[in-house]
Amino acid sequence: MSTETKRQAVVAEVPRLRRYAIALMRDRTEADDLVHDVVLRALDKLHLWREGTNMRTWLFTIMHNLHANEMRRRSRMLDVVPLDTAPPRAEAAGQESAVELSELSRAMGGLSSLHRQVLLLIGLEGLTYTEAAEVLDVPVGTVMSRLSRAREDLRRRIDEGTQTATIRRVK
Amino acid sequence: MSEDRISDSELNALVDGELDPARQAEIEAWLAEDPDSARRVARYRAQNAGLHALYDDILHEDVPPKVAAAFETRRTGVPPWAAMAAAIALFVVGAAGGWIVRGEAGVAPAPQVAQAPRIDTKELMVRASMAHVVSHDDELRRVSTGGKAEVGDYLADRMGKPIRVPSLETFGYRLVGSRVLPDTAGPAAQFVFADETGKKVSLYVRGEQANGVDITYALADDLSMFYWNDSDRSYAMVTRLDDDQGREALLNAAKAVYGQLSQ
Repeated sequence: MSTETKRQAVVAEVPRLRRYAIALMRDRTEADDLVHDVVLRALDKLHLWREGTNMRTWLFTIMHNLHANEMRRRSRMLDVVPLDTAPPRAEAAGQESAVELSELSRAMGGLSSLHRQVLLLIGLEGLTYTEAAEVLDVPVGTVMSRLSRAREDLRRRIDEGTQTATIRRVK
Repeated sequence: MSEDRISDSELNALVDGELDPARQAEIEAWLAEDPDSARRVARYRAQNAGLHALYDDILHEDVPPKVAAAFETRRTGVPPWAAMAAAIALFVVGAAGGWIVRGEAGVAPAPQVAQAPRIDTKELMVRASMAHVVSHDDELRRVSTGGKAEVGDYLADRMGKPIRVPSLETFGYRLVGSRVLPDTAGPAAQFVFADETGKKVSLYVRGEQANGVDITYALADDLSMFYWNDSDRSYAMVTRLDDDQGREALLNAAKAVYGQLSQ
């Protein structure tokens, strides 16, 4: 496969990388900075990508590592609370009402980074457990237990949020 | 009953399609007897659906200039695109490399002409797609019946070089107009074709000496295009496609034009 074809395979993954980065970091500017860095790194290391392996998993792995480095760097600095600049769409289609979506968005924001990662990789990006394990560099069993806890954590947070909202409305 | 209770990991695996079909059928049957677990499965599925509802729109957004710039800096070492290029999200996708080797899993690189620079695909595509979007009738030189020779003369006169006028009639597209547009590479030509329903296909031709590119597919915003070049010009066929069938038709039209112009 020519370098140009590989480059184009990277280009084709940009929307997925952005979706994951924005959902994970909850800040579009930071997310696009991260995607920018992932693209640079991927293009520099393009010769290391083995043909026949999954380009998406490879790129998500690069993103995970860069993101982890960034988080480590930040934890040494002041605690930065990211703004949620990705509000849910006003006209939420389907069964989910805008209120439910904003509840979900808020609850996602409350999750730990580890839980958010695993939920997004599998629930949103549709990675298999094996792929997620590769990206996160943990055993498959860890992915499964983490995912299970993340979903319960999210469910609890949504329920608590909804109860608060209901009480507010009743008052 | 506790031995029948479905494990957390299997509930999750069901949601994520990670169970083999036999086990999946078994678990699904058990769910009918275990309303708590069934509720959890429904909640998890709703979580996934909610995440898609929240974030899927991002997939259709333009690639921000900052990200596009990352590709640029690693291509030539030059600064990011010119401001105009940044205004259009440019998006080259899919197996490129052209129809000469089409059907191959791995695509052979285009033949390299020694010392010739690369074709400036961004410039070509930005200009071709802009020209396509703003090709309203009144801006085009209308083509009178049987006016192909007239169009050719008109363009040759303004471009300073003869140019063949392609025909797409076998594809149901009639030449409806043409014009000369300013381009950094000198005057560029645009041909606009339309079918009976008014659907437009345009061909943008700019002077450019670059090494060979076979017919290659690209997307810029919601416009699809096939582009290629010959010894001194680059070409882009542009239209708005609805499906893969349209893409195939556009490719065939591009091949026909390629054949007509390189005779």
